[in-house]
Amino acid sequence: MSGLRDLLSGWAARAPARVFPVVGSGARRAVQDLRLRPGIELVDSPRHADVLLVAGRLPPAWLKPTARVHDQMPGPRAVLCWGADAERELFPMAEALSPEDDAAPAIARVHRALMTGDRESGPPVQPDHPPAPWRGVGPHGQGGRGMTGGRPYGRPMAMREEGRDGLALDRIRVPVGPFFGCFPPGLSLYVGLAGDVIQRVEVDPNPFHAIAESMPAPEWALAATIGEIERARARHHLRWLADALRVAGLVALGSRVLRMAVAEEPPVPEAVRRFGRRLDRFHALGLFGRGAGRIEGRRAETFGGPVARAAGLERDARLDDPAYRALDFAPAIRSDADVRARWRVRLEEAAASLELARRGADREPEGPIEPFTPAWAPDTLSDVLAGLEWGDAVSTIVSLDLDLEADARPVVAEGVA
Amino acid sequence: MTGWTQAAAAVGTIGAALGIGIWATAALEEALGGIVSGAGPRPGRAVAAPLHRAAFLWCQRRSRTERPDAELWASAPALLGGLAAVALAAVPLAPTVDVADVPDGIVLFGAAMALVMVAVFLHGWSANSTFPLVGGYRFIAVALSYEMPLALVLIAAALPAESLSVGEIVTSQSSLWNVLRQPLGLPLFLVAGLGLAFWGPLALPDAADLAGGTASEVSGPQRLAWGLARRAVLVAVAAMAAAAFLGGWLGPDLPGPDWVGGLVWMPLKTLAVLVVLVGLGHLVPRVRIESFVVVAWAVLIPLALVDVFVSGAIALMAK
Repeated sequence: MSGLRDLLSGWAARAPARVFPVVGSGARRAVQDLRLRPGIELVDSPRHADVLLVAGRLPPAWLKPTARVHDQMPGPRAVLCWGADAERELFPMAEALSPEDDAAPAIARVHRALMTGDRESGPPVQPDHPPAPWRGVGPHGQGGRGMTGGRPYGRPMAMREEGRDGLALDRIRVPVGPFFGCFPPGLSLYVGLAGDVIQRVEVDPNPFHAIAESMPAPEWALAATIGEIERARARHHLRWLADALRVAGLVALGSRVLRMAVAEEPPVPEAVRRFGRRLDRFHALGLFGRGAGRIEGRRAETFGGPVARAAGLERDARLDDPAYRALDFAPAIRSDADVRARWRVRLEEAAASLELARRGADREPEGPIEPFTPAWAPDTLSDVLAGLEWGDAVSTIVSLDLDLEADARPVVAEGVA
Repeated sequence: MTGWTQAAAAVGTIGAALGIGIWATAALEEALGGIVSGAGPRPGRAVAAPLHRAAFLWCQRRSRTERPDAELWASAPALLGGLAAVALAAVPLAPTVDVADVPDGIVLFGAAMALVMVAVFLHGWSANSTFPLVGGYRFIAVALSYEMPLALVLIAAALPAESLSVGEIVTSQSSLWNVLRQPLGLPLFLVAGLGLAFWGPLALPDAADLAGGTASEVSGPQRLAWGLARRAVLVAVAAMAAAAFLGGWLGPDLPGPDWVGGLVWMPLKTLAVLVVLVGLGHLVPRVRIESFVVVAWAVLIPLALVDVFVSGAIALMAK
């Protein structure tokens, strides 16, 4: 019998480590790069994970959610703190890594030790009793009194409300985030769901503001060639695409794109264009992003960048720059303003950036270089998401390419040459 | 054979067929995923990886939520697996080797597949959690949209055979396979099959945008059981596609008794269909529910009806 158990645990040790990432400040790219490592699988639900990776600096508001996520993990479980110091008090048995270390071998080692029994499963960090007792009386815990009405004792309860089409449907208010795998790190929503349609959204304030002073300065060079800028832009869009493909259910294709994004040699522009055309063929069928999540006019302007360009607004800082005009730069503009349009704009920009990088590799832009981040506009986001079905809402949020960390970061000095 | 030996042989056959089929599906997932992601097929790894993953899930502990419906939650994977086994039982392996080649095998298959809705919804509802519940409801919202084309194309396949028995449908293809004389049949059946196994583009109840959907609160041996049951449904769908559209056990003559043909051609054809289904899962993104329902009712069901009418007309003219 123990021979069989050893065989099973030996096999389990050879399976990839399932990692649930808690992504703090400064860790987003490093955690995304882990997806390419063999032997590691990043999972969306803590119930599926055996290793909790706490990466980067966490805002203080996240300590309790992290503890809750840890306790949701079934055993055997372990915690790795990657560059996160304060959290080690929360998880005394955690392994600590500094930000420069390579986390992948440590994760694999911890996973193997857990499976073979060489490492004890981490004990729960929160007390295991509900904050308020359940008052049901029936055999399945139903019935009883004193448990209905809004949000009793921390358990969300669906209440009858006027919903879509004039039907009185149950609406339930649930929190989503801050570690929801499809959202950018930091995004946390309270969603009023009627079925799977979002009736109302309350967006929590950006948690990274609380640790803004300790965030490192952005990596922007004050002087960079067009080649460097455009290659960085293309890599950024490809990283976004890798994540977007994963959310759309295409994990293997997302890995392929991520590999393109991190490769030493940037990909050939024609390859990116071909890829974009192939993806767009799906969208054109009308089954995927076409017509979903329309963001037009003033709302598109608030978000700016590719979102605005997908709504037909010709806004691009590069249009004002003589060096770019000399290279015949033309922004990618679409007018549909839906998820499909935002995908097309980003892919065309990535391909165009790679071409610009080739042609103008050594020139420098003549105007100031300012980092662009899509505006963090919680009210606009609430307006955009209200009324969307859940799948459309997630694909809309993904298509916005939000970066809450960049929004909280201190602004670089103005007037750089 | 006495009744009990027959029953034991039947269970053994279905179990072995499902076991091999599930392993093949999981190995194909790894291999095709490797090809699509650019890491290469790595066949050795692809064959061993399902065992490692299953062992990991076996060693993990079961999750507990607050006040789940424990009996239904535990029985949902068993129900799904049982339905897949019933559906596979309707598909004969060879002219003399079948488990339940009943005179109305198509109806048995369709009935088993229709009840998949119940299993998936129970799996989502029992956990007493938001994302699984939304996943369960999503499946109910779309299930009818692909069960209708499924039933219609199977009826169309039954028309030339003038019988609802799957064995008769296979023998009716001895002149020409149904994939050639009813070109709409196989694509529509594959779409319905993807939906019933909630795979790839139609992986709505267990979607990534619901953090795993009905499976998001499940871990350990229960998650292993759910994964096995899902792949079992895919294998049953592939086997029926091979029998009803690709000629089943028919193929170039092989030496030996006639069941040798069944043991060689049926698995090969089922494997080919599995390659297509798993490949679609890696290449086609997940659909939007609203758009898919519109397309299903406005395009797929009319095409399935056209398929039925045309095959009926051809069958009448051939008489």
